Amino acid sequence: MLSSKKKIKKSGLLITLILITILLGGCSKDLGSINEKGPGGEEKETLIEEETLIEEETLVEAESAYGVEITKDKVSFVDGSGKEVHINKNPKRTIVLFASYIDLWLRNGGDLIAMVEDKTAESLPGTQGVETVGKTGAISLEKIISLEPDLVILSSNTSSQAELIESLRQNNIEVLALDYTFKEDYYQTVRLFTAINDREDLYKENALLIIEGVEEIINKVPKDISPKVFIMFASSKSIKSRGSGTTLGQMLKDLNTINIADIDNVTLEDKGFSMEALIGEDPDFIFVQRMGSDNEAVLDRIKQDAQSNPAWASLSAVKNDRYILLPKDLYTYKANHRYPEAYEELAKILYPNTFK
Amino acid sequence: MGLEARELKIGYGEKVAIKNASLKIDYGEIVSIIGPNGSGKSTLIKALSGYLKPKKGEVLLDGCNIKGIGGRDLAKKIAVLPQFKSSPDDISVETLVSYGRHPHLGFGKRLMKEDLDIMEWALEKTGLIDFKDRNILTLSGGEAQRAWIAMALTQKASILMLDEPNTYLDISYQMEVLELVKDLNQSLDLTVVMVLHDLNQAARYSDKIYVLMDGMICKYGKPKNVIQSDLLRDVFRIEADVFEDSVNSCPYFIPNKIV
Amino acid sequence: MKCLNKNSMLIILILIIIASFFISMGNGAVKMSPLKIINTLLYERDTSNFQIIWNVRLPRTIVALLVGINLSLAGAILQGVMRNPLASPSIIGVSAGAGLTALIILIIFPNYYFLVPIGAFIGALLATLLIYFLAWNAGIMPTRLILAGVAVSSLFGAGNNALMTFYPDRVSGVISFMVGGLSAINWQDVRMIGPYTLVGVFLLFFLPNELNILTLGDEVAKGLGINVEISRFRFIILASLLAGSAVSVVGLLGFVGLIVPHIARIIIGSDYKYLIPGTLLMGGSMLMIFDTIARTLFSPTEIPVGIIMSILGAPFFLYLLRKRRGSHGTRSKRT
Repeated sequence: MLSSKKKIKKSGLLITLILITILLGGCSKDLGSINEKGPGGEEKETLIEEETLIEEETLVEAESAYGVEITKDKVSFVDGSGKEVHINKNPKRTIVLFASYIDLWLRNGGDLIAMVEDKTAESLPGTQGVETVGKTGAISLEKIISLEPDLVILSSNTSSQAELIESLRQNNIEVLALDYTFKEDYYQTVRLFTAINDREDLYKENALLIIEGVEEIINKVPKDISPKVFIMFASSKSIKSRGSGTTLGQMLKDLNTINIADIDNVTLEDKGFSMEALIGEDPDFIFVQRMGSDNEAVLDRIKQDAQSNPAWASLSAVKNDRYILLPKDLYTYKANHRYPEAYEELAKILYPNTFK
Repeated sequence: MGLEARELKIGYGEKVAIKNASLKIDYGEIVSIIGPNGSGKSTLIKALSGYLKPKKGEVLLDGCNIKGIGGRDLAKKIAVLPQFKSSPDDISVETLVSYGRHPHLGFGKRLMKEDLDIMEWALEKTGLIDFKDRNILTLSGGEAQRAWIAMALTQKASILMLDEPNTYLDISYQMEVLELVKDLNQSLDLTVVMVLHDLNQAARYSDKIYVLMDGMICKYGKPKNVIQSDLLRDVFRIEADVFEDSVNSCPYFIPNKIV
Repeated sequence: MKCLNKNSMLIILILIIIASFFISMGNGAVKMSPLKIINTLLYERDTSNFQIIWNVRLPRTIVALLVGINLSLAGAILQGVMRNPLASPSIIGVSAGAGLTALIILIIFPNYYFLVPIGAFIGALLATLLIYFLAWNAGIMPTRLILAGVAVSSLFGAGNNALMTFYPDRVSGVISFMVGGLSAINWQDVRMIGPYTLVGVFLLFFLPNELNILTLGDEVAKGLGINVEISRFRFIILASLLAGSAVSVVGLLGFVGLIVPHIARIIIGSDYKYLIPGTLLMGGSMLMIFDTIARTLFSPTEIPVGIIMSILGAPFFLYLLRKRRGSHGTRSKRT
């Protein structure tokens, strides 16, 4: 005979347990999908489907790779939202909501009926006269639906875009939610896009050749020296650093460097970093990623700021002119098909004797 | 000499609270301003103290327009006890009283021996010398008012103005305040101008009474000439019998009915 | 707390602030013993350790001290002048003005990022003047000022959000300003904020009585010879300068200006003669200590000091609040 107080306590405990189980269940699902797409980038076995020789034209058979399964009419993979999607090939009406993917899509055989409003994208060939659906962070769902697309490509990393996924799917629109941080994600995306657009030639050009180019550079890197590097995301009020879990971070790690911001206990992407520790560690190279203009005068000014500030001036990297302001196109934005160039430029800086 | 007001017109924005008022207050007098609510009593006393600027007319102190007297100098001549004041929770009586010396302090704002002596004197005169370290919130209504009066005293002004000092106080405290005012007037020759709500009190403690109605002074003079049944009927809308208080040599009345 | 004499309390606070200074100087991402620190300062001037102590830790400690003083003092002044315990620098538009100006520079003119400190400072001051102007109606009633401040702050806040919506790719640099923090502090920042602290503290040793009297009400103050409008205006501008200079250097730190004066009030009372030194000692100490925690807790990663202040400071204040029964701060007493 439980008193009412005890009953309430018991049901409270039960509800809490149920909630925890649901939460944990949800989490583990997410973990599952992350593992699938880790930076290790499992290369699935290249399955060669039945040979289909068609007349003279060697229609190169599409290889499934990077978790992208290709069949005659559809392309399947597990997208950034953790869902397994099956996209129909050759969409007629595509909308791209994430600015960085526009160029990628167009280069890999796609075309657009509409896109997110973005200055850089507007100057690309293939976007003239294309409709816009609003700016990043303020996209009009209504406009998208009114255009009756059959495919919408967006970023699963940006919360304002990820929110749209459900609503779009409910309207029977196919959604590709992409999570692109590392170069393996680039290869996957190229595989995905070229498969959807039936352009094996572009897959070779934009992925296979790129992979080769990058590998070549990585292999040339001397194995005996490991320079210490620090990646800085400059803002006026703080020093934010980036570890190896970021695009540039991965590049530098591939090039056999040690990132002093790789610390186990904190896993933020942009971490506030201690100036003291920076001086204490005294990295060989400091790479600065910037937003804003690449205007010469401004870059000079940033360098001057660093040199005139005694704390900064004491760093070896600053003294030896290894305080490098990285251009935006290769290092703030994704390098995409220019990865080999991006790697090479970094390698030239890091190992001037090996890479001329 | 003394304080004189000539044809004052005072208002807030568009609203005119005092249409035309002239007063004359001689040094050493206790003058009361009475009238129904809304007649403009508070407004009038605020103009007399210099807090409000009249739209027309002037207030003269010893012949000089008070508009031309700087704030601090005016504070050394006229001390004011407003109706609404706020005080922080933990101020001591002594600290409150010390603020009265502010107009006299030099740039360094330090209290000199002279200031401390004056403060002590003010506390004695108001009977609060034993209360000097007490927190003001622990005082009774009457004691608190005395503390504010002590503060006003340290200003060493010749005129003390009180705006409804007795409203909200228990009757014994009301008497306490008025007896103190009378004592100060007699021993220090302190000129007093006060707005009072209680007509019998005004009759008993004043040398001169000004009666306000609808923004104009309708009668003034000695209490026995002012507190009469027709005034009580016309201005205060009560039928009353007026008697002579022979002990205090002043009139008093007992209201009978509303007009 | 009342049994402790006010003067003794001040002495204790002085000791605390001195201790806080040494705690801040002695701790950081790079561990050094006090002996080593002194040794470095005296004999090892060309080492990286010297750089760390002299060019990183010292200016940062000093700025934490100055910012703590400025912001808490500004809050104390405003709470007295407005006769409102919820008054703080953000009420007179300092946060809004500084934030909007910083955002405009960082987002629309990112090439001029180095103008952010001076811009934020000017923005803070202009916002205060705007609010004052809007609230003016033949004089300033504190309530009108507070309402105007709330309106202007929300207007500027909307401006901020609009900027962030239309330029989403430029937002990340802005967030660190809005959260507020002391990383990347250097001697230039000390020079930026120092003069205002000195002027402010100097003036405030002569003005406590005026502040005390202002809290008694406009009529009482005028009766004691104070020109209320001018006095109020001067104090508000002083508060704006103090807070504006602090915010321009470290971004928006909300807690200090609002809560520290109340903590001081509980400990030392409302008399500004003691409250002013008490507040500035308390503010300086708290910020130095909290910043030390913020940069050593997960070293070498640094947490914004605003987060530490809220997590540690707020419970501390609540504890003090409960210990002292009844409310405090100015309140109207009908007498």
